[in-house]
Amino acid sequence: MSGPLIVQSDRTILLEAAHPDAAEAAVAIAPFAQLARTPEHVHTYTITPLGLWNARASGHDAESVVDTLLEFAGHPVPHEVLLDIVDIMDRFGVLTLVTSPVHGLVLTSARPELLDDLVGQPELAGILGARIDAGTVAVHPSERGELKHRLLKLGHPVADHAGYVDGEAHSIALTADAPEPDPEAEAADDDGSGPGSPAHWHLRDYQQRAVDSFLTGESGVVVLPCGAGKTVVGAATMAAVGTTTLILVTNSVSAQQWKAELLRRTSLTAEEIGEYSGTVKEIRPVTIATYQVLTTRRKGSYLHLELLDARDWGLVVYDEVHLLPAPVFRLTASLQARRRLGLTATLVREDGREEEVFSLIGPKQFETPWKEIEKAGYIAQATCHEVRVRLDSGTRIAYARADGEDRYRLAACSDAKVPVVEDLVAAHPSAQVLVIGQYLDQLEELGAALGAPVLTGQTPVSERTRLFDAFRSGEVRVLVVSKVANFSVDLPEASVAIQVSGAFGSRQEEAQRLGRILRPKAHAEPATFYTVVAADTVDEQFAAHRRRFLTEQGYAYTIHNHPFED
Amino acid sequence: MAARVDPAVPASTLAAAPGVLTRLLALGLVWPAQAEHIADPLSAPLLRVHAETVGLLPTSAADRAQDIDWLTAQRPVPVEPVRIPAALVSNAQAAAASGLLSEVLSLLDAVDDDPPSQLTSGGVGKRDVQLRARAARLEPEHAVFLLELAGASDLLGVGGSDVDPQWLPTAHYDEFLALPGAEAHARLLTTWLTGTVDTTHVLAGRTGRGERVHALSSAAGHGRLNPYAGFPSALPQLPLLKHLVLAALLAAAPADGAADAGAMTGGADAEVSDAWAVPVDALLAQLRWERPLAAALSPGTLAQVLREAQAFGLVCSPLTAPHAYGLTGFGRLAARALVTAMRAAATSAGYDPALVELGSELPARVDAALPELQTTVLVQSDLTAVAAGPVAPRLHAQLDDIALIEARGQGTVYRFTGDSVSRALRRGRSAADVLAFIEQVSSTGVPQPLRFLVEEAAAKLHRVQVAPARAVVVVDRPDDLGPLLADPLLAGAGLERIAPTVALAKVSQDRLTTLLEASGQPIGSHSAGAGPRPRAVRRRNSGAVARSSLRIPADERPAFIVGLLRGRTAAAPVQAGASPLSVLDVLREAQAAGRAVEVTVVGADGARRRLALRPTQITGGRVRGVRQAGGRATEIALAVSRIAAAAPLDPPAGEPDGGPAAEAGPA
Repeated sequence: MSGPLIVQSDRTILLEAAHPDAAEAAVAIAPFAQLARTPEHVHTYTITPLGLWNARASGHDAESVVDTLLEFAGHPVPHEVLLDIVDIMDRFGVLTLVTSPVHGLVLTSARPELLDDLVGQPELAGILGARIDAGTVAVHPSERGELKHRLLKLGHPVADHAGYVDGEAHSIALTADAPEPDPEAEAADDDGSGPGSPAHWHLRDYQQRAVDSFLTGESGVVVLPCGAGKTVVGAATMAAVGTTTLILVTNSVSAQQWKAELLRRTSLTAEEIGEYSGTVKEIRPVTIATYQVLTTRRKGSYLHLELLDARDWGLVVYDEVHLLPAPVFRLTASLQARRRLGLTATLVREDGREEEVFSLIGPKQFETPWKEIEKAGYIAQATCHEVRVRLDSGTRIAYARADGEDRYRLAACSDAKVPVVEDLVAAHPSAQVLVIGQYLDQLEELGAALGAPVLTGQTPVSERTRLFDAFRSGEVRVLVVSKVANFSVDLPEASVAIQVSGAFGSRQEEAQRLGRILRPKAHAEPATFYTVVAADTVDEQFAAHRRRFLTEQGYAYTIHNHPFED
Repeated sequence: MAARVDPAVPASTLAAAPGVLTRLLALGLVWPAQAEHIADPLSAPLLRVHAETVGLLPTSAADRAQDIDWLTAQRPVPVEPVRIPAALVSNAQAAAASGLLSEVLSLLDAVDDDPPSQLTSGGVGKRDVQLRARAARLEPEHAVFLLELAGASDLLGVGGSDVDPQWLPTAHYDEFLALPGAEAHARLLTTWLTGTVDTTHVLAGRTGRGERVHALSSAAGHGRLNPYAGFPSALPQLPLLKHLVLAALLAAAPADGAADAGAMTGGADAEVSDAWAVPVDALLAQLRWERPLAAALSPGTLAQVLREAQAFGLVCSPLTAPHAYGLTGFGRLAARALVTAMRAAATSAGYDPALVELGSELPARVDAALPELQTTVLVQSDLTAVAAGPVAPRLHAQLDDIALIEARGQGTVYRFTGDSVSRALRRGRSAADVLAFIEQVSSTGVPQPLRFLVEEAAAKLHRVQVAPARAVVVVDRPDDLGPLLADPLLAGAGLERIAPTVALAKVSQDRLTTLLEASGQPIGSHSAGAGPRPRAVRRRNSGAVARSSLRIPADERPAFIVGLLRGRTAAAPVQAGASPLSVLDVLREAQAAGRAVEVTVVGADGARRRLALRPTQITGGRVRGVRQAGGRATEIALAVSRIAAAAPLDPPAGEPDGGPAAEAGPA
């Protein structure tokens, strides 16, 4: 045994990244093991029941999973892990959802006693319909997603063979379908072409694999780093499916970016793409709506739910699926008959609801480590720095007396951070710099100190667009932004980001903020990410938690005390 | 029937049916008396009969009227064994052997980190076992098995103080750590094969006879209270059952199979031989048929024995039939060695735990299967260190000292945290030492974030320090402190400079004041030490309260009454002075210096008496010391609350005599 894998009794798999067979092993275990961490030397995967069931649904059987583990293991594999894998995978397929020509959607099982047991479960009351025969029970079509979700929680995965509605056909073609060229040349092409410019682009290898994986599974989540072209994956999927599509995004700026990208990458015209937001209510073959408008309630009811049924959508795309708000979770449960594509860079939620994303949108169909994409040159090389500043004694005394959120705010908004940010901006005289923070007064103060415009949630959309354009053109070199720029804002020119405060210990926020500077640069310049932290405070503790996602993706933080020693 | 009167039956009684006798001897129901090992049991003049054997026989009309299970039992129909592919067998046995060693070390680490107290009835409490199991990331049931195994292997013993005896790793454990993996495995396996503890009893909390039992307790099979001790057969049931199980599984494999041949040769081909598994139910039925009187042959115990054998890599299950077990290559070697040894010894019962011998082939095979121990780790920027295989115990111990174990198994993941590094630094390691160690064992260098973490932890560790102090000297100018530190009159105060103008003293504030005054220093009270003034509360418009509740000694009452009559109410025997803490200070100093003190003790009636005492121990509100009276020394103990005042009796040279005694106030 000399393979790159170490299989642990706790169902984690360690992969030695430097092993000659590491890449082959990673591809082999991808169908059933979830990538959890990818630091520089040893990557960690986890084997979960959900992952095994998804593998089974994709056509992998227990024998092939066991063979893969034994083939690539560097040490003996614990026998109980293999027994578990077989046991778990055997549970898949015992329950099947099918469409009966007579009874409609039904749940069937070859084990009637299991159905007897399930019919009596209080969790399934109101979801299951009449018992048709010993091995069949009717299911209310609107509860298809909820049934799968609840059965999964009870440890009974369902093989969903009820199929998807095709939706209203709508022909969509990509503007370029040629084979992929050299990444660096492509990066240069990309940089030289703004939205609407002549199409000199190609679907990258990993993007094609992501689309293929999705089409195989029909629903699920694609995880790619920020700047790796998730929108392109969405566009290519739409082209492959060729139906009317509903795209759900985080905000209206993002909606505009999606529209511009679709116009650039596909044969869609502006008339075919509608926007459904707070100000505009257009329903077109491809409609881009914000989560916010979907979750708007008045007198206890969701006003815009009809959007979901307004057309016979063949595909629903969830951008930044890690942000899926709770009401949308519930709405999604009723959309199980339609193909669903989730896109994200960071499927980590501090509320621990990642599993719900998987069970409602679909399993993780594709994921590539950030560093792998970086190595291929598709995203910028980035270095991360944590700069620790000590609070002055007055603030320290105030901090000692404060408690709860006030403590974090005092530490995060310390005046001591201002000169540090000035130093850092001065250290990159020719770079486009984003200063990102959580608290508006702190951002105002920094904007004044740096002489830079401040963009927050209160900034009107037109002003936001103007400022982003000015930043892209280089007219504005330093832009101070609040959390509105955390996601879905495409600023390829930014090469330095300085984070001064954040949403406590949010890992995905830190990763998304790094993502703002990961677009490949014209001359392959590296990107630099700084996070300025108040030493010996909760700010430091939160920072340690925040950087975990990125360190687990292989980004090494260099930590300095300010003033810098060297 | 003869055995009902006397369990020793003359051989002549059974001579009429030699075939039956041979069968009874083979089953262990009858054996030669007065001789443990004899060449030919049939020639023994006196035979003994298993008491239970007789109990099973129908000896009354009522018995005869009923069916007896074992009399009417049918030979079980042989079950077709399930084949286990060779690759799976080879993997399972190696993984189990390696995993067992790793788990034993993890559990003993957990015990060492937080030693559980020994129960008064012996053993370890259930909750303690669960906590150690959680710390070692083991299932509690498995942890119990491993604890029993470690206890029986002398890796765990009772140590600690007499007040709180604790279970701790023994000196044998250190030797065990130094053993090569295969030898360690063989040692544990031999212990298991001869072990008498039925783990199902420990897990259930009661023995089969209803006695309460805890892990590692004597009732579980250790020590004099061995449940099998004194039993006529003198043959513990668990080792016999393990032997029977292994022998039955050995016999279950197809006789002409390549597997068996492979195992026999012990060569490389043995690694790739298939195994044949028998369902547990079938195995139980077969053993019950062959050994109807085996006491431990219950479904639960058999399942546990198979689980334990699986943990050693002796048996494994087919992936499609988890309730069937077959012998692995290791298992075949162990079973064959056992069967051969028992046949050669020709013991009366067919088995003797004292004769368990594994031979040399099994350890050699285990040695070849165990992964190589890692002596380096991959240190990463996310503050983890990963050993790509089982870690050498010495390296593990050192890493365990400075990092948390995040995952342990075939590979070990350590995580460095501020707390884990600080813990090591508090134990006396320096940051440079820690970094040098990581540098030495890391095959990937020391990432900057880890270097920063260690250095930062070291810096933080000394940012706030706590020191013992009983009084503090604060001076205005640093120059003023030097003379005080150098003054021999103040040597007894144990002054230690902690800042340019601050020194700590090892004596009480009162004592320090006395010493400073004696050395001619004018003393001012430091405001910081004065404490907050009591806050004024609304004053009641009432007169002064006379403390009339004070008890007046009987012999002083007349004088007190006279005083009262004459208007001298202050004549109450109230002595202003320091708090009882000051009395304690004087006593502690005297104890430390080995000097005698004169203490004023107030009796239950309020009477005061003085006595000389050399304190030897001050604890729990009591002073124990040697009393000097009439040239005789007697040891007495006094309640501190009874001591109203204490003063040194024999001040050392250089110290002014007769310093004011510390007195306890009346409160």
